[in-house]
Amino acid sequence: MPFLLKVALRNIRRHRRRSLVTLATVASAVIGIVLFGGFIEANYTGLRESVIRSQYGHAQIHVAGYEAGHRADPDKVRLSPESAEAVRTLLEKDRHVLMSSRRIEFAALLGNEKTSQAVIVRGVDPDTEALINSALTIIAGDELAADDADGVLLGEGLAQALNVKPGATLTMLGSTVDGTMNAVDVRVAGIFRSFATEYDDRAVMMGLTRAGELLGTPSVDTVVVLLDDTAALDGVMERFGAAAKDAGLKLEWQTWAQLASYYHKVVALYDGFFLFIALVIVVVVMFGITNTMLVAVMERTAEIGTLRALGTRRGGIVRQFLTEGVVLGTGSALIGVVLGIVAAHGITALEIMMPAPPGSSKGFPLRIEDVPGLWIGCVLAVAGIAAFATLLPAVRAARQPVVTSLRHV
Amino acid sequence: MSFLTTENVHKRYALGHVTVDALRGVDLVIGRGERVFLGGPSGSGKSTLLHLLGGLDAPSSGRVTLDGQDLAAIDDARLSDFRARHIGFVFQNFNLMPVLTAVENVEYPLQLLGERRRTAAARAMLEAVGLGAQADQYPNELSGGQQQRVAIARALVHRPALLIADEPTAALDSTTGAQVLELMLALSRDTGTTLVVCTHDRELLARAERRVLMRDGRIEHDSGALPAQAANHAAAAALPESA
Repeated sequence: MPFLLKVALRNIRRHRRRSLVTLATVASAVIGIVLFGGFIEANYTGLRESVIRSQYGHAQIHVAGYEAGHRADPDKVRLSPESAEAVRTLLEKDRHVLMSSRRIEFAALLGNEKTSQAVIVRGVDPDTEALINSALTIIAGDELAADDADGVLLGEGLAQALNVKPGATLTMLGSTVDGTMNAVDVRVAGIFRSFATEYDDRAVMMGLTRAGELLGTPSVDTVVVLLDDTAALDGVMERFGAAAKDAGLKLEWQTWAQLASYYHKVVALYDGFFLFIALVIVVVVMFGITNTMLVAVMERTAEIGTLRALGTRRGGIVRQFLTEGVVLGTGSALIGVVLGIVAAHGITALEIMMPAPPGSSKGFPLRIEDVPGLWIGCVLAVAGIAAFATLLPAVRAARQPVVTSLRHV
Repeated sequence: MSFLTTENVHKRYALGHVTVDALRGVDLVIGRGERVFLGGPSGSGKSTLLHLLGGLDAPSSGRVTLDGQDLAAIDDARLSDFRARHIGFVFQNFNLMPVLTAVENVEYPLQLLGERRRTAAARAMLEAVGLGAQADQYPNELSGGQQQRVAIARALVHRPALLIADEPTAALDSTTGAQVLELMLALSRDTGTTLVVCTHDRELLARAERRVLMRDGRIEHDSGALPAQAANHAAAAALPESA
């Protein structure tokens, strides 16, 4: 074992109580970071998969020019049935694509003889949409069925506003692509709850067939694609883009990350919380280690004098205390990481339900994710903090005149 | 032949607002292999002189040379290396590193010099001081006399040209102190190491081959001084304190 390390370990062991206090301080701080960081990461993952599986899919493919033109004249930038089918065929050749589904979105009025509500309607392929929209929870009634052309799903808030239950009949009033008014009768098949209450207050889902009858067109806005792994998205879209170009299809697409501004706002907010808490913890760790090393240096002033008298250079003294501080800090951080991982798995196993966050309609199970990058970062950061916190007292000790150090009692 | 010399060395300390003249023009010439005992009352300047001779402190004025090297003329890093290679120290309170065993303490100077076979050399040195069986014990497991013998082994393991001992027997009982001193003298004789010992002990001073007595920062008496130096010392000692 290198001499410096041996001396450092023995000095840490020699002052067992003080070392234990420092270890407990640093390890507690690291446990806090591991738990909080893992909790935030689990929330990011949960939120990301929620927005993917309840709204956006992994990507949405449109006719080229859709984004710029669909608000002004949506019918001009829609995928024809043939184009949509060609897109789905190309997509489903990729091994990461679980499925694709067509969608059309439009505004309409939905109501009965007593009341009506302005709604956002999403026309979908019932069979595939149910799988893409797995983050939606049906809280009453049934899913949409392909053989139930009249069936619609209402968001929870909308059903309450219309005061309807599954089985109720409603009339949907909309505008065809020619600009004339049209109406269809629909039946409430089920009521759903998504992760966002605002969405549930206005959302309707219905089969593409009946939506096409209302709008007077068989075209769709979007082909939504769902993958088996979010991390594979870039590769899938790169391959799809090349294949679509070869097939002469003029398309554009947006990934979930481009669509989900809410997700990015939440991430930015949580990152801010995390940074603040991490800073507080860094200060605690720094004071803990600085205090320990200051006392260590003060107590061993005469020892430093002896080592200097024997011919140890100033740098040698600094290296010795630095080694001690870094070994103590890093060892404590490693213990903190291990305990943090154990605690994280224990807490996750308890399946504690958290209340619904603001703007959301569903609670969620408390999960703490494994974040190896965070663990390594914690250990490296504490090692760095320990080195920084030790440097000042060590340099001061090394610069003290030898005779002054030797006289220290 | 002069090995260790001081030329008109002064040392002045600032203690708060008070300035203390610890040394007031000390001239001393010590030959290679000499064994010199520094004596004098507390505050006479003997420890200060010892620190200057060992390169632990720099004079306010004057020169201290060891084997021709002006110790104040080299930077801290080179002075550290110089001490590591050429000087051994024995302290009143032994000053062993408590986290190292006896043999590891003795190895330390060899470690600084980058010696390879240091464990064997350290064990041999401990055998020479009669502590071969205690080599793997920690300082707190040794008696005061044993600790001081470990310190002597540490001071001599790298064969320094100069051994500086600051009150090496003060923390020991008289019998153990005498044994430790005999050991130190024998080893320095065997190795040809120049020895400078600072002590309060009148008995030791009486038996010393060469004794230098100090008072008020000056050499009052030097039993081994050359005639010209002796005259200087006498003149210096006769000066009033404020001189």
